[in-house]
Amino acid sequence: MPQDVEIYALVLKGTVDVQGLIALKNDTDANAVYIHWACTAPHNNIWEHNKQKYIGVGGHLLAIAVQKSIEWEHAGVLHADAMDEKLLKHYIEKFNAWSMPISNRPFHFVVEEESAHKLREVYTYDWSEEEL
Amino acid sequence: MTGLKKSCNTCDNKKIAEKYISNLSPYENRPPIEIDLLALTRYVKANNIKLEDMTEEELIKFKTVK
Repeated sequence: MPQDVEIYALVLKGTVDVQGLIALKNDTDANAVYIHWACTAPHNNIWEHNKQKYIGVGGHLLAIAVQKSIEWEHAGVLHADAMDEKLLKHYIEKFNAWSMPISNRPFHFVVEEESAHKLREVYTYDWSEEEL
Repeated sequence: MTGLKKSCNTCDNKKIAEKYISNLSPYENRPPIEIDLLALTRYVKANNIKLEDMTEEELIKFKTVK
């Protein structure tokens, strides 16, 4: 794992039951947060495991990325690489992401600040500095 | 029939995930995109244009490494 990547966990309130993880980089070069990777817990991953205990984990993880983007003075802007075209379309439809393909990264996307702030309003959570 | 039954959808998705990881390793830094995304997205919205319609000349204005 690159040293400048930070990992955050989404847990159920009052528990250490991890529902998803997100690895974020303060991408000063891009003036945005870069989502290095993100994943839901297997029991929430309908895409890979065909089952889902809780919905909305992806949105909550993105909301964490928006929060960090604001803290790191990028106004909520984030960018990432979707797994495939189907997931990219999902991000476009669900989170108003913009497709921004770059060399060898056809499913690269960006979420601009207004959409990022809406995302944060919808997917609320309580922040904790606790470490797992 | 014996053994576990898995949907084709799930099997296909695992292959997609493996391909993704082989292209963008989670253990390594990604190549920098060298574009100011905050300035770029603000420009796109302010001018009511689409990102994909921007010309190379316009994009160069937002390069962070000249």
